[in-house]
Amino acid sequence: MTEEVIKELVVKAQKGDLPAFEQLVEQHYTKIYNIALGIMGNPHDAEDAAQNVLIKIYRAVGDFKFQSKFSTWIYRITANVCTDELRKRKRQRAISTDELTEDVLGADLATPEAHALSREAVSDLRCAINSLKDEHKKVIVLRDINGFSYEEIAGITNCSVGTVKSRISRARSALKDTLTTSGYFNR
Amino acid sequence: MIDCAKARELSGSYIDGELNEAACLSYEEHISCCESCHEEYDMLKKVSVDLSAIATPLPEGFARRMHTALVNEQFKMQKEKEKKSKGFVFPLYRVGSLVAAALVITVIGKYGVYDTYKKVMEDASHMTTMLHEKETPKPADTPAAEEPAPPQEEINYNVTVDNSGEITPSYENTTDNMEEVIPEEPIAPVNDTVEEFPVEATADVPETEESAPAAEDTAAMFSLEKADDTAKFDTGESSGGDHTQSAPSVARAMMPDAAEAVQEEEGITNDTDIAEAAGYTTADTPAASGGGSSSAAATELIPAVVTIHNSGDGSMIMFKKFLLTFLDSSEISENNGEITVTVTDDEYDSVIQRLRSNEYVKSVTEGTPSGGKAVITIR
Repeated sequence: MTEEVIKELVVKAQKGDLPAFEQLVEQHYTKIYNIALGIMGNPHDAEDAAQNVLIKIYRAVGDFKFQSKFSTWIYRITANVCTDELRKRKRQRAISTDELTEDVLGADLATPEAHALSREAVSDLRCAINSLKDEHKKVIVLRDINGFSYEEIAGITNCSVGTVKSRISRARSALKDTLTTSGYFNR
Repeated sequence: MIDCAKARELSGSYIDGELNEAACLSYEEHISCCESCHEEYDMLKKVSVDLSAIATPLPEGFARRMHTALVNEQFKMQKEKEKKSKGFVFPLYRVGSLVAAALVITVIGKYGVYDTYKKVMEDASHMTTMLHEKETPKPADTPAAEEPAPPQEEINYNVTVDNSGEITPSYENTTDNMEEVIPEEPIAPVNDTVEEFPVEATADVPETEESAPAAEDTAAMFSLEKADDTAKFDTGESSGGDHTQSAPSVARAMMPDAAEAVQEEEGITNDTDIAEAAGYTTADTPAASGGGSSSAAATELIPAVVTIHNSGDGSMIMFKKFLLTFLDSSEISENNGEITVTVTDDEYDSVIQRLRSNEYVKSVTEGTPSGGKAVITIR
């Protein structure tokens, strides 16, 4: 979708055109959902959070002033809403393998790449992500799970590229330590 | 050569391809010599690659659920907008607190503020009088009988009512202000299903004469009879013009007390004129008509039930809106995600035809008109 088309759709959405709004956001559903899943830790909460994200974006689209890319704006809302939701649900603890439901692991193993990972490896990774601090979790979910560039992450998290680099380094280091403890690297 | 601390700092950017050429070379030179940093690099690289593999496809039905949530949100926003657009109306009960505030001010600063107090009391009294006048339509303020009746096709059968149960004077509609008016309280015989159709049935009543009800194209309206009777509505086009029933009868069906008020206010007593003005007939013959040859006494009506269910992807909310454009909310009920429309035998065919032609309707399976059932599936 070109920037021109996006701009036209945004203008229509700002006037309350729901189909135009859906056309704008549908292409981002997968990333929105994966950001939500990465931050919330399970599919049920992730879908609730994604729904809240879309509602929030729909309500706020009238305030979008084209000062950034529309995609950057919606992912920023996604990351913030999910982080807030997580805090509300008070899930700042590591989730043991037993607590991960079949749905979580089943969903994670749905992609061909994931098939190369064992069930235990996937659950170790999810648990390790859940144990990260909010800011580290955010950048790891954006960078490693969703493939955003450093510049995009800087726009989404509203900080400098340098800050993004250092957070990613520290986040990966923290993940590495957690995964070492769980025997992840010995499998 | 860089040290281990610097190497750890660069490892993330190196893995992500964010280092310039010189920095890359420095980092590679270090890890080729430092076993621990090389091992750390291997672990960090594996974590990064493995994380990229756990991105998940969307769950089934995700887009549909998001669409439903957004449609619901759109309705909520519409209602919020409608409430805001009514503007601020000073409620009568606030006069009491205004008076109380005036009294407090007077007590605290009694010396020298007597005049202020007096003025406030006078103002409050005046405001009370104004609000009473506004809520109680005065016959003297209503249009005279000689004023031309509004064109037939301009009248909305949903007569506007205010909270006191009386119809506001502006029964005469103008084309200048066709903002749709939806009464807050159901004006048809109430049943629980009214609550299920918030967009159509629960918007607020206009406060002023200017916000007249929007015109409904009567050609688009169906003739319906309520199964539990009270009134039958018929467009002019569907009968031979034997309009002997009255707008007041229509209003009576919807809100009995108001009907008399309308008749009085409009000064309309002749049934033919009334019917012409209102654009429809009713099954009830008013006492004044004396000649009701047109409509037989209401007989027991056998309802024909039309069930509407969702094939899975459709929006029941949108479909309900459509139904309310030609059906009364008392004729529509919902249970377990299915909508049921109850119409009389006479109107069954026209309702089915209407439903068939609607874009939301995926299929229509007809039953027998007499007490039978049709099943409609929406997209």
